[in-house]
Amino acid sequence: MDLYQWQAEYAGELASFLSGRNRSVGRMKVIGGSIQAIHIHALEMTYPVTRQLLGPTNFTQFCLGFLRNKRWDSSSLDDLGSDLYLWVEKCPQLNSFPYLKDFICFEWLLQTLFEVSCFGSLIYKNDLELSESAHAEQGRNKCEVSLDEIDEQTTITLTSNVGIFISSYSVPDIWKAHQTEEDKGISFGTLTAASSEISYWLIKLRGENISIESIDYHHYSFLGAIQQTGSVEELCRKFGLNETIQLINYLVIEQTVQFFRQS
Amino acid sequence: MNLSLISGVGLGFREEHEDEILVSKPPVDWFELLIDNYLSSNANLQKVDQLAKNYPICFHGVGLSIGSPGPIDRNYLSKIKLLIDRWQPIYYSDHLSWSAIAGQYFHELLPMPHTTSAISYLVERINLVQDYLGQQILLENPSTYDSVPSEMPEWQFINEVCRKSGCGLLLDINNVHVNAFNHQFDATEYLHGIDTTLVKEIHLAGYEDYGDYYFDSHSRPITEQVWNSYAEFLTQSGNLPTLIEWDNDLPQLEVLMAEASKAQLFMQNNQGNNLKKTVGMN
Repeated sequence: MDLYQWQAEYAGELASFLSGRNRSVGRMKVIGGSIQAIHIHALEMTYPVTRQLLGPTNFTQFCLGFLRNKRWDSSSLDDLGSDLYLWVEKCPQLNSFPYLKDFICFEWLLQTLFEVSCFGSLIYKNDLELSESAHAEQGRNKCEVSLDEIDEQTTITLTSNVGIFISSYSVPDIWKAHQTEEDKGISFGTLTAASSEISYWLIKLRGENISIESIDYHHYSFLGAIQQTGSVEELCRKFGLNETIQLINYLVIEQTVQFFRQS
Repeated sequence: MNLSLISGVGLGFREEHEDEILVSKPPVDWFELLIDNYLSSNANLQKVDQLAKNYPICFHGVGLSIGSPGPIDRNYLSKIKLLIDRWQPIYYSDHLSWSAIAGQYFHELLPMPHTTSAISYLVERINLVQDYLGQQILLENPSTYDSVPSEMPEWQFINEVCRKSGCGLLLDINNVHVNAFNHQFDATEYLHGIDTTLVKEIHLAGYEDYGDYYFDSHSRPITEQVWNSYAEFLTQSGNLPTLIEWDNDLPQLEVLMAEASKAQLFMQNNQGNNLKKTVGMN
């Protein structure tokens, strides 16, 4: 048997064990159990408040179900829980937590923002996360531009420490209730209770400070359009020139957006 | 601090002890970083900047997956290279294992078959990594739980990989004992079979005894068995940089320092014995 064939068979048996389809593969239970423990620990790190909400035992069971049905396609354990929210729909026993799916999305959003913002890791992202070829590609095609240089060719993005969130549940309030400033080193900014049925939030991280503020639908749509299109021209078409300029000016003051030009 | 060589006994620079280490600057010969922890974007690089000013450091990784089918992960390696440039470790080590296949990642150290084709495959890939990094890497004998196809004993397989690729061996004596129990071979014979000139560093750790198998948990004190093997190996190899590896259920720093002192005593005794041999004393 050649090396690749052996490895493919080994991986197949291991995947079968981890999916719960085959639990009697002798010693594979040791390495399989170790992998499960590593994965559950990674999810605990990503979703500490979800774990508190469900309780440790229920959270572990929830994660095991998710992991048994997942193919791990990333080398980074940080990415493991990116689609955990989808697993909620497969768990009717969690119906008593109607906000759980939204809550998991919220905690994932915070996790991804923290990854970028904490400990000066913006530098890290820029320096390390891109492969050398991506670095070269970025350098060749994009340069940052200032507000007075903006034209139709300019692309606009939310800064990497900013996220938007929509829910019909007051998810940030639930999250806030489970935080202690001493534990997390987080200071809270404005958190205004939303009044309409569906609520919209803007989340900003500055170092270790987090600010979660309720925003109106219009503001949310504009930020959403920036996330989706990234084109100033498109924004002008959708929101009108004057309003686009006005909103962009506001977002620049708030340090929420940045601009690039394709060269 | 960038020294060309390390000696003595090192400890892991683990999150639970980071602040204490940076403030109290304990008398530890060198520190090891679990380098994969610094590849995720929420890593605290500044603390290591501080550490590296005061101590020699080594990198130890789990994500290289040197035996995996498919191309070497250049993105992973480019991050390692950037951190090597930043902190100038004495050694960068990983494991003689694999962890991914066809885009599926297991995030664990899976065993390699002990075959000539595996040796050829590993040598080719180790050369690629060493060429890319511009330095020798060290590879560790991993703990294993499943039997693998074997054309030769594990120690011979490891010697061949290191000799042919020019990489160094990070000899984990705890893993030798774990594997000896799990696969029913003689740990002493294994250690006698290792080419001591290939060994650049030693790991010592504690394992969990589950009755029908040992598990390399890094969560317990080093066993007497492992200490005895360590002492005996030093008589063959001479003193080598040694790490006290403890990652789970981490005790107070003093406990780790006590384990380090014990390893230092073994080194001193070994040095004394060598001196006696040199001057012809019994």
